Amino acid sequence: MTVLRVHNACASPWGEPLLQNINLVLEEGCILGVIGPNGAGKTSLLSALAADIPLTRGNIQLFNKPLAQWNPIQRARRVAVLPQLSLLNFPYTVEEVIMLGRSPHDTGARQDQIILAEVMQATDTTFLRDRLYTQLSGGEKQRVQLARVFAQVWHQPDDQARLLLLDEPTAALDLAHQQLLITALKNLAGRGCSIAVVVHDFNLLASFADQITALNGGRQIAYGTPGSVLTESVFADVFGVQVHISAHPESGRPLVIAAEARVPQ
Amino acid sequence: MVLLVRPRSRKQAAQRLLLVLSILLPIAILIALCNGAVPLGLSEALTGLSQTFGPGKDSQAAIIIGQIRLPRILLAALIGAILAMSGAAMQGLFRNPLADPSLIGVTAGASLGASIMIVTIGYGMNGLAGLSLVSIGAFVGGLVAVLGVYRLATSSSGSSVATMLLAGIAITALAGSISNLLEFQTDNETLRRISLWKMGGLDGASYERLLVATMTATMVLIALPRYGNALNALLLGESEARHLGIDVSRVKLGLVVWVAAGVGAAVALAGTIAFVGLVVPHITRMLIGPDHRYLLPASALTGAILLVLADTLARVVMAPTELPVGVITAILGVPFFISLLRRRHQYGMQS
Repeated sequence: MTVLRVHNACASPWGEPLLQNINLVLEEGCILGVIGPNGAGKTSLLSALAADIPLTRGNIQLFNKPLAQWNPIQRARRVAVLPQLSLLNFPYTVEEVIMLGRSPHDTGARQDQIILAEVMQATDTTFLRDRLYTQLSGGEKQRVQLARVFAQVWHQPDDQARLLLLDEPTAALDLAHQQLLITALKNLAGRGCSIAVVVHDFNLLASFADQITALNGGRQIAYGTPGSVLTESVFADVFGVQVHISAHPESGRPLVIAAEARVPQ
Repeated sequence: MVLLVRPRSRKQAAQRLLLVLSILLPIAILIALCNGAVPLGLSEALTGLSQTFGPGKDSQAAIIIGQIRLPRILLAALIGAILAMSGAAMQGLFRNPLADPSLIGVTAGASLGASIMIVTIGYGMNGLAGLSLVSIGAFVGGLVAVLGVYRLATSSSGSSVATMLLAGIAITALAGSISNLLEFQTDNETLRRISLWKMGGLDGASYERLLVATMTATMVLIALPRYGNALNALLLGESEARHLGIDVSRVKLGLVVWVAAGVGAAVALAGTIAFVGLVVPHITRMLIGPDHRYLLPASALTGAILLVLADTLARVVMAPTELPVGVITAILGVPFFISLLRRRHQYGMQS
């Protein structure tokens, strides 16, 4: 099933155009990476996909139905969104925060407890279960928020396609937890959940994305497999930096190495 | 027995607190019935209470209980419940533990609305109809104030404490000066009515007021808890709540209208009573956490108990002179609030 079909999407919620002519297709169980410099429109793209900002032109089809026609609860059961920043400053326990991810569902307390245990294990938050969210470190908070959005789309009784939108999920994570997250994402994708993710670590992204789109100034500069997007010319175009593209010694996937920074003489 | 076992989870702690509070409320009401300018023994008070609704209406105890204390105590309980639950809902809506109807201008707005109503309907304000009109005026005033503060203080990234409090100060000042302007213009009789009403307090309790309070409380106390799940999701942020399937703009509007209705009625019936809406949700949150499915009803019960006891104190400390109950809640509430501010990190409250 096609999860997302974005056709010529343009958005300018505050006057300035933030997205111009974006086109992409995301199939069930596929992972899309979004890259670009700061202010390129990556978060705007996720916001448009989450129906937070309206399109001025073009259209987005979610599960073959126009995005705007989805009823909020029906959409929440199949689409979860992890924002870049968390505003939560009330002393919920970790368990309470994660269980908020189950609030759109009515699958019963037993099912919710099973999912809670699974997502806590997948994000290494089991030992934090009774701690107060407000007293956690930045990385721990991020893992708890990840567990919350995982819980929202972790499992569907009738195996409907789902979509997870993640905005910089690895920003505060250490290396071990980044790898744990990648494992969880691959696992989730393997069970039919499609994922769109904004990440600044290209090598991490290359290790698990099926397709990548590169944005700059709200325009789509490149779109395709990691091998076709992570090239020296795209990096020169989009980021204005020199890189060397090598191959990962194990997987053979692209490996991006930044060129030596030179102080102008 | 169930009360002696250590709770295993916050949910259990919350259910237990609700049970304890439901037992404490009738006890608080009994204490309040027994104490006052004329102290009554427990058996005397109970006899008086039964005589109020049966034969022997004219005994001294029956008159004290039935005519004076009972309506006043029940009014205190209802208003305490409304104020505390409204405060808890506001703090959730603003995602801000400092939001309180009196700090953010709602009370002042409601006050102004009621004053305008008293001036316009002039002498016809006696009786149930007059009281209802004043309540409606207070409701509209509170609604305009809370909408104003909300729009000023809230952006897509949440609400800022500083802006919210500043907007509250501005709206309070504006409402106060318009009130003064009104009083400046009116004749002596209306002025006297306004100032009598402004002193407010629970000493004007009557069965008419109790009727208006019961109707408002029934609606507000049933309506607000239905937003429990939505408020829980809103604490994450507005777009996060939307991604969890909450119709955010409808929820916000509903909350604001019900809070304005509740606070408006409370102001119209008993004047401004400070700190109940701020302190009670804090105490409750310290005990059971911020889950609004439990926080809202538990706050209502705690608020009812607290205001009944505060009003009893107000009646006995300087008997036969009665203090306005707002003085007692402020004297008790302010040090408590300051200690909360100093120890907020201990229970995980930031900013």
